[in-house]
Formats: sequence, C-alpha cells, structure tokens
Amino acid sequence: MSTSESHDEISLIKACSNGDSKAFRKIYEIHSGTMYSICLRYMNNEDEAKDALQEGFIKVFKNISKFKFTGSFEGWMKRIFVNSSIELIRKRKMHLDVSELNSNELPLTAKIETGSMDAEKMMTLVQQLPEGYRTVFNMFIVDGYSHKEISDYLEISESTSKTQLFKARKQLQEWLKDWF
Amino acid sequence: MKKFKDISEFENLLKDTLQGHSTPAPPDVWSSVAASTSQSAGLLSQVTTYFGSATNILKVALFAGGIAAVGIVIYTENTPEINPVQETQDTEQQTDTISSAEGTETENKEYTIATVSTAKVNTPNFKSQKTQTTTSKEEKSTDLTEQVSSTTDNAKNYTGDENSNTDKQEELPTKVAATKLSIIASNLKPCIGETVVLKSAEKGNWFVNDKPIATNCNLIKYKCSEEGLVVFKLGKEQNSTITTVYVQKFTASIISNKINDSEFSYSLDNKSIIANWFLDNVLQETNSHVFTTQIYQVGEHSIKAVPVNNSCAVTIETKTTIERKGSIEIFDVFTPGADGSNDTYKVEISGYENFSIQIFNPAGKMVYASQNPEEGWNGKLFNMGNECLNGVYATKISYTLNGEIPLTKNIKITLKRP
Repeated sequence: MSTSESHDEISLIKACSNGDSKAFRKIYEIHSGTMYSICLRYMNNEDEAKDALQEGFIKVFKNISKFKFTGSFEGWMKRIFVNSSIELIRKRKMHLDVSELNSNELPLTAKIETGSMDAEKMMTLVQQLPEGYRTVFNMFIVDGYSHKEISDYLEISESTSKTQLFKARKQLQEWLKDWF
Repeated sequence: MKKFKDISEFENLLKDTLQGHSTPAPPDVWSSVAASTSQSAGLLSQVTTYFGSATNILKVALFAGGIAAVGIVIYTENTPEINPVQETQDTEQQTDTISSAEGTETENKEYTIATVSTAKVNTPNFKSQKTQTTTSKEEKSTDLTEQVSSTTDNAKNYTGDENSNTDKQEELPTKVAATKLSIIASNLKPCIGETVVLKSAEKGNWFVNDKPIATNCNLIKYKCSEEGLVVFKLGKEQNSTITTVYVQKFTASIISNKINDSEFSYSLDNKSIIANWFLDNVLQETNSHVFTTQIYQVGEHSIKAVPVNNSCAVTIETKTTIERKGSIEIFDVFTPGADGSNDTYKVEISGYENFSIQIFNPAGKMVYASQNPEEGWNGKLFNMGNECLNGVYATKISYTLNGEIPLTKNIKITLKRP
C-alpha cells in the first residue's frame, strides 16, 4: 500500500470513528469482498456467510474507535470477521466433538483430474471440508491462529484442535492425491 | 497439471491465495449494515417517511373533489389578500362570496382587481358606467347587496372605504407629505400569480397601464397574470405619480447530459439559478447549478431541482431511465457426451456483478459449484471426478445483473447421456 493510500485509510478510519457514514461506506466498499471471502470459508453457505458479514461490519463500525493504529487495519478487521463467523457457528449449537465429525460423510471423493489449481477451486475445497475440520483448518492454516488461540476461541482442547487439523489435511490429501 | 511436493506446499499456496481472496459481497448486505449502524441512515429514512406522508396528505386533499379543491384554491388565494388589509369578519365573508361569484366573469379580464371591498364594487362599476347594475348579481351576498344598494353613488361607496382606510393610514410605514403623491408597492418584482399591494398616503385615482381601475382610494391590489412591465399611476387633481412593477415569469428546465452508461450530469438552462438537487426524492446536492451523479439501478429515476435563489421558482423535474445492461439465459437440459454439442452446461450471462452456480445430484450431494459462468460443468464430479449419472439435478443459480437486484433461481437440470 502506498503512503497516500495509508493516509487515506487513516483518515477514513478517523472519519468513521467520528460517525461519518460516508467513510464507513468507503471502508465497506474496500474491504467487503475480502471479508465476505473469509465468511464464505467459515460458513456453510452463502446465506450464513452474509449474516456473518453483516454482523462483522456492525462490529467494525461500533468498535472502530478502539482501533489503535498499531497493526494493520485489515488484520484487525479479519479477526472481527473470523470471530463473528465462529460466533454464528456456535449459535447454531455446533459441537466440535470428534464422534460427530467422524460420522460425517465425505462429500467430495473425487480425484482432481483436470484444470489448474485456482482460488475458486481452493475455496470450493475448503468449503467442502466438514464444518469441524474446516473451522480449525481455516483458523490455523489460512488465518494464522495458533492451536492455543483456537482452543480458546472454540472452547476445545489443543489436542482436539490438532486432531481436527490432521483430519482436514488427510481429507485434502485424499482429494488431491493425484497432485502430489 | 501442477504437482505439489507435499501437503505443506499445497497449504502454503492455499494460504497465500485465500488470504487475499475476495468475493464480491452481496449487494443487500450493505443496506442491512447501514440500517443498524448509521445514524444518518436512520435520519434519512425519517425524512423519507415524512415526505411520503406529506405526499399522502396532498393526495387526500386532491381527492376531496373538484369543487372542494377549487374552493380551497380560491380560499388560499384570497387569504393573503385579506390579511394585510385587516378587514372585519363581515368583509371576509363578502370576499369569499364575490370571488366565487366573479370567478367566471373576471377570468378574461386583462387584470384581476382584488382590492377587497373597493375593487369588488368598483370593477363592475367601471364597466357599467357607474350605474348600479352590480346589485343585479344574484349570487352576491345579502350583506354586499345591502351595502351596494345603500350607496347612491360611488362616492358614497368610497366613503365607506375611507373609513376603513383611515385606520390603515396610520400603519403605513412612511408618511408622505400631503402635497406629494407617492406609491409604495409591496413587491417590485412579483411572480405571475402573486398579488402586489400598492399603497399611497393620499387617496387618488388609480390607473393600470393607463386604464382606470379605482377612484378615490389609497390602496389597491393587483394580481399579476402575465409577464412584463406593469405601470401603476396614481392621480389626484393635477398631481400624478407612477410606479412600475416587473412581473417575472420563472422559466428553467433541466438539461440532462449522459457522461457514460451510469454517470449523468444535470444543469439548469437558466444560468442564474442555483438549486438543491434530489435523486429519487433524496437530497444529493445543495446550492448548485450543476449536479453530477451516478445512477446505476435499472429503471426510471426522478431528478428534481428545487431552485433556491429565485422567489418565483418552482420545482423542476426530469426523468432518466437506465436500460438493462445484462442478460441471462438458463437452460434445463444437458447432454454431455463429447458429441460436440451441449457438452458443457453453461449459463449464458452477460453484464453481471455476481454469479454463482451450485448443482446437486438427486441424492442432494453437491456435484459442481462455481462463481465463473465461463467455466461450465462437464458432467463430472466437480469437473474432475467420476461422471455423474443421468437424472434430474437441482441447481441453484444466484446472480446480480448490472444495475439490478440480486436474484436466485432454483431450477432442475435434466442430465441425459446419449
């Protein structure tokens, strides 16, 4: 990001903290795509992702005055959207216990035969992971949370977090076995 | 085909790709977010509600029937004429009666005199060469008939006015020396339809554009009916004075200028006018001669200019229609088989913002999903796996054509292999 853009972002954030709805609109326009992509990775379908996106932006607006300009604004926002996604999953009373995860049938058993690995295929692959694996996989691999943080967020033990990550990897390896 | 060394390499690529990945957010999310966060959005909706209800009230008023509406209009026009003169309750009643009675008669007159009681009697008197034919009007109120009957000539009639005008003389802002005539006009640049009140310290005979309209009074009212200069003359004995009033007509219209498919510029053809601009009844721009805006939504839009620096101005409106920009064609039969025709299931879509397709097999398992309409489904599991069997596949297609609301279609695709 160039200096001028950074300045723009800082002034946007400050304007937004002061309740400027136009500035908030601008922030929304800039970041909604990336944030929607995060929600799509975590949630089961587009409707749920929309809910998470909406909740997330409401939180961003309410808490933007608490942003201290110490880290990246996008990183700060990403955490909010991961949080709001996880909250929504939790609201659906999704329990991440191992027995349930094992009972899930694997929806994608195909070998990948054609085409190149692009972002859309990766999104599909992640979305196809059973929910329990998917949350941990998303948090650990893509969004860079530690197992400790994951266990705090999801109220599971660290070893469960690790187990689920292992299973997610195993699943992906199976789907992608021709790629290695 | 790209190969990965191990799962970690794939995961690193996936991390890099998905961290920056962006999917256009559904357009309706913003409105929900704005509604629950923005105070100004709340205010805006309140204002809109207010306008909405005001319009409704106006509609109700218009529905009150033709005669009633005419009555309201006449009353409204008369009210400001009555107030400055401070007539008694009796006179107000006369005015109403006369206005409605004279409505048709005075329509074609060159000017309409609305001087409350003086003019009502004077105007017909001038026409009838000072005979008392006015009393023959059946529709005149009893009060007025009595008043007119009781006057033996105009002089007496004006005497009555003198009395009422004596009170007003004291209220005149400037007292003029008795020897010098002068006219004070309430408005030197009135608009068509407005009434100008002309006062004088001295009573005299009044002429409008050299036509006599009243004698021996010190106040007349003139209702402006057409654009142009009007000369008022007040004469008393050998003295006379004139005042000119310029009646303005407001003319301005909006010039539309299309900059590109979704950007429009509007300006007023009258360069001296600045206005507040509304797009679909929402205030967008204030105190500006020009208004530039983006209009994206397909359909007809209203652009209104409410001029702010011209007292005669009325709201000007123009319409802009946005034509459809996108199209979609969805097929429901799919015959893959490498026979060269219909081998890939594709939705023909152009001019769109968002697109997604999800195809489910008869058992309810997703077999294909994409956000790229160009890619198409080749009949295999996620285009990569086993061939899907013949059958009916439930398909969810969500899309937003440019400038239109998002839509979701649930259709059934029949897959038939030869």
